[in-house]
Amino acid sequence: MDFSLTDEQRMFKAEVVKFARREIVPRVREHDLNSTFDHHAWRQMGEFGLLGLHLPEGLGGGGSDVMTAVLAGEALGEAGVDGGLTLSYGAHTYLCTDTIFRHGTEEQQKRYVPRLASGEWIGCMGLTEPGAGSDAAALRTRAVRRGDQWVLNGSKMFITNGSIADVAVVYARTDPDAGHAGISAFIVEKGTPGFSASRDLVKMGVRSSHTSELVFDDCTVPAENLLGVEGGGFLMALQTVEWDRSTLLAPFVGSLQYLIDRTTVYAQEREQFGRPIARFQAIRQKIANLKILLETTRSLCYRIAWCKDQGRPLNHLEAAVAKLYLGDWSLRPTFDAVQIFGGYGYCHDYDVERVFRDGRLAPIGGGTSEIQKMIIARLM
Amino acid sequence: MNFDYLPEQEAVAKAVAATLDEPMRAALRHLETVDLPSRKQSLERLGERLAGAEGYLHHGRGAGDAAHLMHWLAGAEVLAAVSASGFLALEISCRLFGGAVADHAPEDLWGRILPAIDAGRLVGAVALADAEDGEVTRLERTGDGARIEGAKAHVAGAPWATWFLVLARDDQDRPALAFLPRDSEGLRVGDPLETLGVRGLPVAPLWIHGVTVPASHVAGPFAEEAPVAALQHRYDLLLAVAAVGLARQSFEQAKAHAGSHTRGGKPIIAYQAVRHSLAEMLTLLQTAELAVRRATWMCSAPEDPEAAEADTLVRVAKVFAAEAAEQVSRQAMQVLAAQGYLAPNRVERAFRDAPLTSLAGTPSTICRLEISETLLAEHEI
Repeated sequence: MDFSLTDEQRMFKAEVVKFARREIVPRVREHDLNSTFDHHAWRQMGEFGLLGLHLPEGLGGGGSDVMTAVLAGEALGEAGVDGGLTLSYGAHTYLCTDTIFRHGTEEQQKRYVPRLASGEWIGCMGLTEPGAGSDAAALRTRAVRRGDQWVLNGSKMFITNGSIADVAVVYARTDPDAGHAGISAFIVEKGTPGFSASRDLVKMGVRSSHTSELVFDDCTVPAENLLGVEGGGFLMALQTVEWDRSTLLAPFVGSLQYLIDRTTVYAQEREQFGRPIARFQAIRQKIANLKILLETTRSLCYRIAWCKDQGRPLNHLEAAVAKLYLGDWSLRPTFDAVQIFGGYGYCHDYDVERVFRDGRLAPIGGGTSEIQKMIIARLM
Repeated sequence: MNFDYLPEQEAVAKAVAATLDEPMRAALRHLETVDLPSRKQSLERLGERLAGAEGYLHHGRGAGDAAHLMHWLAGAEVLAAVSASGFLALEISCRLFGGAVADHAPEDLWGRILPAIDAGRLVGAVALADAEDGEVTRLERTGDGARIEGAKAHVAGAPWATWFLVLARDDQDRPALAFLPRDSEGLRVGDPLETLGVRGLPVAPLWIHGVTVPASHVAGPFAEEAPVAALQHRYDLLLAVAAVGLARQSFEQAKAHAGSHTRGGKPIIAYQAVRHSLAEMLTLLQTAELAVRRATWMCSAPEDPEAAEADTLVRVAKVFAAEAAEQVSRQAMQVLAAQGYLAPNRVERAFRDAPLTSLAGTPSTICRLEISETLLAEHEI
């Protein structure tokens, strides 16, 4: 057993932190306040190589292992990049680009992966529907084969990057009588007739990430845009959401280090009753709890990444444990980070409330905590 | 990075598991209810078996063998998941006390003490905490020896130890570690104390009235607290492992019960509230287990840059594992319902045992203060 990182991984993580602090963080507050997507940061992230780190170099990726990709995500959070941009990054890279890479034909890989990995295109994944959230298999968007085309009808809800995506991986029912085996995946490009995105939803947190509804109204895609095999969509989606429960958690893990950095400095600067509040044990206990949460979530996240790098079979149990723990056990320490800042913590300009708001998504998105408990109970 | 035990570490785990046949497990279950001599006999029988378990008793003992801490942990996890009392009783003697002997005792003492420990005998107890606030156990140099005066509260293993490691301070408050044989004149072990849990491990006060020892039996006084801090850290790690063991015992008992106990015509595991509770327990257990493994690895690889925070991570692991043990045992009792409240059963015992892991060693409240102290120093403005 060995928990060391390589020198390259350590240095790369430090580079990402520096990059993010320089190129992204100065505009984080503005984009969170205005619920706008930072296209400039996106291009910078693409140029830096972050958007396809773990994908093969031959397809425009970085050719790195999953652990390095997780460290990059953690570094973004540590630098102070908001949960919105990191969510967009995660959904784009792992839920869309990676899915096309893993299941696409050579033609599909060549057409989409390099442009997604570079950030030229933005990707999204359409699985959740207004009536099919936790019960994803109950999705009703229909895909009917007509000649050499598929015609899609239905809608998707809560789609990260929905309104700004150039490419969507969409799950639709091709056989209404086959249950899970009747779901297939399709690649749908922006501008396809019958495909549109609704207005962006106004959310509590992750505001710089656009979350919208996708509408398919006799949306016609070429037959070659079927991704993987017909009926293989549900299994594909399961593999995809495993990323949701691991690598997409990494930026939040990093944000805990960000909170530690901010709260420790503030607690030394802020004086009350003639002394820095860092001298009060009540404050110290809260700071310690952030560290405990950071180190415990970090280990869980790294474990998933390592399992993936080892090529182990689907790690549903470990991924569900990581997601459940981070989602449910993070609420109090991040709440206390705001508490340390007092009135200032409640104000937007001090950033800690943003981490608290963004983190509230953790027990909901990518499979609710209740679903994680169901998975764990089934597999234990 | 590697989240699996190496084959030679797995071998230690298997060897320890092989010592724990059903009669031995039964003996460990009854540690709480039998008298002191019988308890000692059972534990030394286990110790004798462990002496042949791929070096389990000496892996990671002392700073000089830190590289084998993960070998130790592989076996320790197995033992701790069977009996917290048995685990702590053996570990306090062979690892905590034995480690101090390896690190600080002169060679003649090694020769007198370590072979007995290696044979699985319960030999040593460690007395760190003074009985009263402000009344420090003092050491005074006298000619070619030292004289020690003081009292220690709650010394685990004191009733059966033949040697004691006592922390004392000189007139400049510098720490020293003295090795005292039980038959020292002036040394008195009090009656065993009644405790809530871990009742298989007897605890008693220790009085040291003008005990004299040769200079060779004293390590220090040290210029700094590091040797004492190292002992406390090692104890904290033992308690963290014990806590994970308690959480595992509780979870496994709850899961087994939920799968076999029926209500409404079906096993209670069919009810969502029970299933979700088990899922929460497993989540806490796995998280605690990982935290302890990572902290132990850091102690085993001090030269690695990732190990720079070893001290903090030991505290993190101890706090988390202890609180996880309390939470998991409480939830397990709820799953067992009335059966969980009846003694004796593993869950009821784990529920009583768990608080010790948060109170003993460095208490959780102090751990948190020390964690934040380190973070504030790192971010000093």
